[in-house]
This record gives sequence, structure tokens and C-alpha cells, in this order.
Amino acid sequence: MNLKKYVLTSLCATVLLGVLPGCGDSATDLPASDTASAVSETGIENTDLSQDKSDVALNATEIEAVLADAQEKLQIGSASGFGWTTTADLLAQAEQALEEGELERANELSVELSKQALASTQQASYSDAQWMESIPR
Amino acid sequence: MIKINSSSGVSSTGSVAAAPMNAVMPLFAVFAVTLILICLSIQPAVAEEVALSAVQNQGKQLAFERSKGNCLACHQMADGALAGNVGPPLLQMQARFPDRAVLREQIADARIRNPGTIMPPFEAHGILSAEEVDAIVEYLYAL
Amino acid sequence: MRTRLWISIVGSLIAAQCFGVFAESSAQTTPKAMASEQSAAAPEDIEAQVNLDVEVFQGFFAKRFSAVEFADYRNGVYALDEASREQWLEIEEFPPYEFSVDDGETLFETPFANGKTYADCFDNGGINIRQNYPFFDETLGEVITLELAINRCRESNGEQPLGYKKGAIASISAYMASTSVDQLMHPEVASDAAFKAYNEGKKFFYSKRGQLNFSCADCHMRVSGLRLRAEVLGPALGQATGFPVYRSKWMELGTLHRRYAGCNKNVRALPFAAQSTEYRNLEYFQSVMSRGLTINGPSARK
Repeated sequence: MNLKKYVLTSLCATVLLGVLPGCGDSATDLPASDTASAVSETGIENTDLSQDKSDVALNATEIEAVLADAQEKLQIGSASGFGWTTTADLLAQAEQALEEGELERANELSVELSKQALASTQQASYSDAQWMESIPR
Repeated sequence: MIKINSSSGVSSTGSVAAAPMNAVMPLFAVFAVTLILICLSIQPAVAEEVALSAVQNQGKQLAFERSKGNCLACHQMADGALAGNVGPPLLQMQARFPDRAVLREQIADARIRNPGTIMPPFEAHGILSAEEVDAIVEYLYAL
Repeated sequence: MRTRLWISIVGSLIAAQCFGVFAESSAQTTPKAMASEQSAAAPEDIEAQVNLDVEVFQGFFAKRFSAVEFADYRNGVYALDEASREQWLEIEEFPPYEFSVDDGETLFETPFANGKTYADCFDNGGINIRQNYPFFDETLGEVITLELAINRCRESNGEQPLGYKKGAIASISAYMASTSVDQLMHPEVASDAAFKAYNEGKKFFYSKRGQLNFSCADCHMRVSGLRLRAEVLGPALGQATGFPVYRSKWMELGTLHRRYAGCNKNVRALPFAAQSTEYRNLEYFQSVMSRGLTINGPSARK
């Protein structure tokens, strides 16, 4: 028997029968992407941090300290082989924002960077001690 | 056909390989019929779907987007095309997660409830922001 | 309408339950057999431990895909998925790596400036020896992969080393593999130092990495055979036998370490350099796990 022919025929039948009642138009009937553009590309600038923290005076020195601390953690993560591809860009953006005097944005980015830096060091120590948890039984 | 036998609890049936051809034939018939039935039953559901709110739409986009939630990589959901089957299909989410906080935590850091999970800790690892996780929860609750 | 919707939902839920997709067991107990044992063990103890690891590893796949023949794992995901297997067999009819193999043969046979050739660096003139790599060099105390040996051959003959991911080195490696097809892979772990390298590769394989927090084993063991979007996740067993590969995505030949770096980047982990100690140890571990399979490089992959 010709398997390929059989498969093709049944697939064609499936597609035809599927399309007839309108099965194929799922891509057209939801306007999701039009209205959802409120979400930013990076996903981190749409937060309300700027408003929430407007009464807290941000100063560049503090942000620099946060960044320095994050970089230290990043080095620990990288040195143990557990660096992430996402952090270099965050660091560059944070430094640029700082340079341009956009303190709120710089603060936001440095907080995010610290979080990821910490998470990568935690992952490194988890993997060092508990890598065998990934052995499927 | 090949059955994926799993002792780790995450499993599903796999696809066909190395089986004699005559054993494969009826499977395609079953497959075809199943597809048709699925199409027939899902179509009215899609047509009847309640319009999503702005935040639900935002959540949907985040859930589908590859560089964001990319939920479709592992989960079937609503009208998402080419969904994976690594995780369970996302449907009846309110019934399955009556406590919204539990659903939220499952996305934010699934390790809290299940240390052996392979689901990425979306918020804990900064893959999604807290606000993005919230939007996805809103969308999932509409499923 | 509503009723039909409900039927489909309930049906899907039941089906999903049957397939066991909801049950993600959290109680992870580590089998003693696979726990890392460190140093100062007698050679026979090391061999016993490694054999046990191989048994558990291969046993996992034997149980998970009971209908797949062991020998077929050298074909990667195509051992599991019939649809992609058919496409792949068609591609292999007119192999896209054929020209690269020819290039590799020419490069292999072209003498260096000093008049010597690659054949002078390898056993048996470099023919039919792919299966002997990687191995642990007891004198140098490190894992030697075929690509590393190729470059060391060049350097010992006063030539510049080649880039490790693609191009000439992939072609030469492909040619050398093509002379070794169907030869049995059986890397040994015969000393404390070798066992240490093996264990480092093993730890790498099971360690969660990157922002997405996946280990190699998470995707290529635990959920192997399932689909990530439209792609079926390939089995870890046999991953080292078919390289270098012509990947449709690359539109060219690439080495195993190029693929490792790609995998690491996919989970948003900073990759290591090709031929770094980390990747060589990983290749060593993976090759030991694939003991008993045969060489089928170069091959085509998606």
C-alpha cells in the first residue's frame, strides 16, 4: 500500500472538512494584537514606578551603588558558568539612562538587573548542590 | 505507534515511528476524524467567545509572544496556532484555579508549589514583570 | 452550542488526564545509582559506576519509548517522530552535506606547508577512527574531541588553528566521520581524572541554566518526544553520534559545540566557547551515555 498517498488523502479530507465549517479562520476573528499594543517591547517601562516613587528622591549615587552591587553578583554568576544572556543589555540600558539623567528609568532598570543577577547566582548555587534533581527517575 | 512512557509524571502519547505500515493506517484515519471533530466542536466556542477586555487582550498577546510568556511553546490555549504539548492545555482555568493567587504563583514561580517543575519561573527570573504576570492571569481566567 | 463546547472541554480534560500531563510529581528522590561520586575510586569501581549510569540513562529511554529500537537513537528526533522522519529521509536522499564532505576530503588530503598531512597525526591515517573520539587523554589530563585533535594537528605542523564552529573544521570532521559510519562508539572512563571530567560533564548536563531555567535533561529526557510549539524534542541518547550536522536552520554544516552554544542561548544562558573544557566534558559524558550506538555523521537535522 502507498502510505504517503493514504496520508495525503486523509490530510486533504481533514483540511477540507475542517475549513468548510470555518475552522480555518481562527486567525482572523480575534482582534487581540490590535488592542494589546499597550504592552511595551521591553515590558519594563510600563510600570507605575515613576508615579509610586515620585515622592522618593532618586539620586544617581544610590543607583550607581545598586548597579555596582548587581555587577558584582553578575560576575559571580558568570564565573561559575551560570551567566544569562539578558543581563548585558539591561546593564547597558541602565548605564545609558543614568548618563542621560533619566533617574526613574535608570532606577527601574538597575532594580531589574539586581533581581536577575541575584537569581542567576541562586541558580548557580542550586545547580551546584542540587543538579541531581534534574535526573529523571 | 510509540507510546511515551514516563515515570516522572509528565507524559503524553508520542507519535508514530518504526511501526509496521499496516499498523499505522488506522491511526491516520482516527487522527483525521479526531481533527474534524475537534474543529466542529471548537468552532462554535470561538464564535461565541466573549470579547476580551483591554487587559485580557494585553495578557493574551504576552501569552502568545515568543520573547515574552511564550505559553504556546508548551501549552495549548484557545485559538493559539501550533501549540506545544509539554504542559497541560490551558482551559477552564477558573475551575482549575479557583484561587487566583495560586494561578498567579504558578506563573510567577512554579517552583514554590512544585520544586521539581520544569516550568520557567517567569517573574522570579524576570522573564515577565509583575504587571505582565497580572495581565496573563486576567487572560487565563477568561479561558 | 454550549453543550458541544462542554463536551469538547471535558473530553480534552479527560484525554489530558489520561496522558498524565497534569501530574507533575514534585517528590524527586535521586537514585543512588546516578549520584555523583567523587575521586579516589578504584578503576573497577569507576567502571561499575559508569556502567550503572549508562544502564539507568539508556533504561530511561527504553522505558519511555518502548517501540524505538536502540540502534535508531543515532537518528535523533527522527527515531521518535514519523512525520519528520519521512521529510528527513527525503533530505538524506540527496544529502545537503555532500559537497562539504568532498571539501573536507580535499582539505584532509592537502599537505601542510611542511609537506605533512592530517593523516600523519591520526591512527590509521585518520580513516575510520571517528568512533575513538572523544576520549580522555591520560597524559594531558583532558578530554580530546575530534575537532580539537584536528586543530592540534594543524598547530603541531605550524598551521593556524581553524574556527571551531563551522566551515573548514566542520567539513574535515564530516569527512572523517563519513569514513567511520556504522562504527561502534564506546568511550572509556578508566581513571580518576577521566571520571572527574565525566562527572563534570554529567553535572553540566543536569544543571539548570539561563533565565528560562532548563537543564539539558529537562528538555531532552524528561519531556523528550513532546512538542515545543511544532518541534518534537529530541532524545539526549544518541545526540553525539551524528555530528557534524547540516542544519536546515543554519543552511550549512556545524559542529556539536556550535549546537551546544545554540542550545544554551535558547534557554538564555551565556554559552561557553566551542572546545572549552565545559563543552568537551559534556561531549564526553554524552558520548559515554550513547555507548553502543554507531557513528552516522555527518547527518541532516532541522
